[in-house]
Amino acid sequence: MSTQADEPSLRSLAVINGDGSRKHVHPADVRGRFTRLKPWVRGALIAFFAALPWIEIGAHPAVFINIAERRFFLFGLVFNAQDAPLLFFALTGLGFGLIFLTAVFGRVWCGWACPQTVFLEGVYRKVERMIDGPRAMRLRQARQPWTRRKISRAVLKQAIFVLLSLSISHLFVAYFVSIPRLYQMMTAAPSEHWTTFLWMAVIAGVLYFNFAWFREQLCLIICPYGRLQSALQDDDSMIIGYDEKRGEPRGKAKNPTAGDCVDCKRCVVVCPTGIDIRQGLQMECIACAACIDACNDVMVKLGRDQGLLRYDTHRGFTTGKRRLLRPRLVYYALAGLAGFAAATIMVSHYVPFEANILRVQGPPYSVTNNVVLNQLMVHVVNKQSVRGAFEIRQLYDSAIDVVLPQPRFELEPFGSLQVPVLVRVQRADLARALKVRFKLVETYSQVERTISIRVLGPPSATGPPPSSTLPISKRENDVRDGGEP
Amino acid sequence: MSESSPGLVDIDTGHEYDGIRELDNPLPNWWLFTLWASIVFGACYWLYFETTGVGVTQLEALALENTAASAELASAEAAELVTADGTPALSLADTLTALSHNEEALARGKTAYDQTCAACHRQDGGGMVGPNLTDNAFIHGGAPEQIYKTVADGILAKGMPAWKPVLGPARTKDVVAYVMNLPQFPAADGKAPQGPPINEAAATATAGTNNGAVNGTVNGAVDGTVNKASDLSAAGTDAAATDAADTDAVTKDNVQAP
Repeated sequence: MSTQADEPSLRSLAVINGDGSRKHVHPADVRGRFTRLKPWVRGALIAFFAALPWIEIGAHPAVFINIAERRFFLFGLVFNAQDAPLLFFALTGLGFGLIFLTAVFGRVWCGWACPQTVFLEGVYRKVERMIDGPRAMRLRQARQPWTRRKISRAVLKQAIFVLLSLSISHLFVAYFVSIPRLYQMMTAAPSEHWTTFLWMAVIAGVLYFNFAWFREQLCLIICPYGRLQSALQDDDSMIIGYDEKRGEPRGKAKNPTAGDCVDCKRCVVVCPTGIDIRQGLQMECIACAACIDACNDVMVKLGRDQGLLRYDTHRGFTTGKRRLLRPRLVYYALAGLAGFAAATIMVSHYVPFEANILRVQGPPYSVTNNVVLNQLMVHVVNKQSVRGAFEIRQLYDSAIDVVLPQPRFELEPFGSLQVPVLVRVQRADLARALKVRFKLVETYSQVERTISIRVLGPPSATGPPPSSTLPISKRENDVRDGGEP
Repeated sequence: MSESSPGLVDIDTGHEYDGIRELDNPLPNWWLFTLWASIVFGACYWLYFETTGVGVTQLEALALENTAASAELASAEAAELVTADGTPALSLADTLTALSHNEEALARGKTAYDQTCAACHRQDGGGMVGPNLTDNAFIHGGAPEQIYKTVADGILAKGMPAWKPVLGPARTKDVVAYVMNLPQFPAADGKAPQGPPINEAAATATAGTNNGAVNGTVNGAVDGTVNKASDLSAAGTDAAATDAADTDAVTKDNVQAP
């Protein structure tokens, strides 16, 4: 490499050496407005993540993704596998909402809300700082040979990292098995729940690897959302940048012809991805605002205006003008609202039970004395976590005679039942397509749902009424297979 | 920006896309490690599963599991033919007769009966849509194996569904055992007998070995309702429900109206 190893440049990643090896970043401490705000934001996000599985709404955890039983509890609502479209639309709304925010505010997600940043900068790096000291000490220690002191520090740090990773992994698993079950598993031998134990161990291992060693490499090389955001932003999206017109040419503080930037490199040493923000917007920038605080600190000491590095738009840095409204915001907003609207409509039409009409096994119909008989089963699934009382009513059709031996029944939470139904029609009436329709009512909530199925009959039903020339129709208990399984 | 990035000439590949130039930087070592590790893994996988045949592929594993499952099913069905005291290999009729004296089987049978059969045959077996099960007449034969056939395969022309696919072999036998005992408790207001009467001798033999498990189940409180279409005209919901638009494509198992 022709450039000096310590100088970040646009020609290569600052965190990879010329031989392909890692160059570990040791960000310096920083003080300032955004730095003061961060522990509160991160603390709130971590508390939210940690608290959700513990909160109970309607006798179930606020968020419980029960994959084993394909049942999802979200803030008091119970969803089954059949409700997957609702999840799709809700995620569509959330996704486009995030895209909308990216177009307006740039990579605020990366710098402020992404779990990678929240846990890395808010937890793991804090532990590292406490044990290994500030940047200068950490750099010196990295070059030192493995003394007893260095080894003991490293062991202590890695042990804490492992414990932290195990804790986060357990909390994560709790979203899928619930806290009581997790506690049960934790107090039992791993051999009694190998699959869950393995998941927990693998997740903890990945977290440890990521937060102890891999770190910013994930954002720079693996994360697809970081790259995707580049395509969502434009010249009017908020970025963190350097006011080149004000800062250049760089020079000593006492030089009257120089710009405001004194080239102290504070913005470089505090950067968690090791870049020099003064070289312009780069894909490595996770918009964490550490450089803003670092620069403002220096500017205040020099008695100069703050904001040489600041949140602004590319257009703002170059022309001083800002524009909020542009077409892409409308597209993103419309797409997001469409998703939310669809999800809202589905939630408002949410029925706490599933009802289907099934045909019984065997021939789909039978004909006796010109009466066509269809045997059906109304399959009802109670999707609620409480008992349900149900009533089936036929929607009247003069041509259809329905026998409903069991019109009223109760179902346990998540219980299901197949209720037999006999449907009889005159063969001649099948000349037109007949549909038998039922209304299923949950009597406690008075929620109802209409289900229907076509009445099947012999193909000749559409022709003239069967006469004695058709020998097959003369036979008693004439059962014919309509070809349906 | 190129002025702030000196010395690009040596690594510039000359590829440019929409103003984005491709630079030939070294790949991270960890990235190269995953690449080589994947290649080694792929070679081992290929040798293990595809070349040497040592490994069991998913299709082979499925075939093995299917074989094991059918063997297990066969042994389970064979085990069902063993009575509680371990006497092996009874005929179907003997098994059912044995079950009809087994209190546990009768309790299971009653549960299944109440859930599935009572809807048409009434809870006390007096008959409603379906025939009376408490008299000595059975339309399709009253011998144990005949009742079993009726319950298991159904009498589709008359509206009796095939219950074996729903209940499974074990519960079907329990229900049949329960039904075999029903004639000992004639329903007070049951339907008139239909079909030929069953063998008087067999009936008395069964009655002689009656046990108490079923006693509590016979009482007349039944609220089964036959919802004839005419009953529902008062519900006042779309009387002329005609769906002319229906085609043959709508012969799916469940068609739901919005």
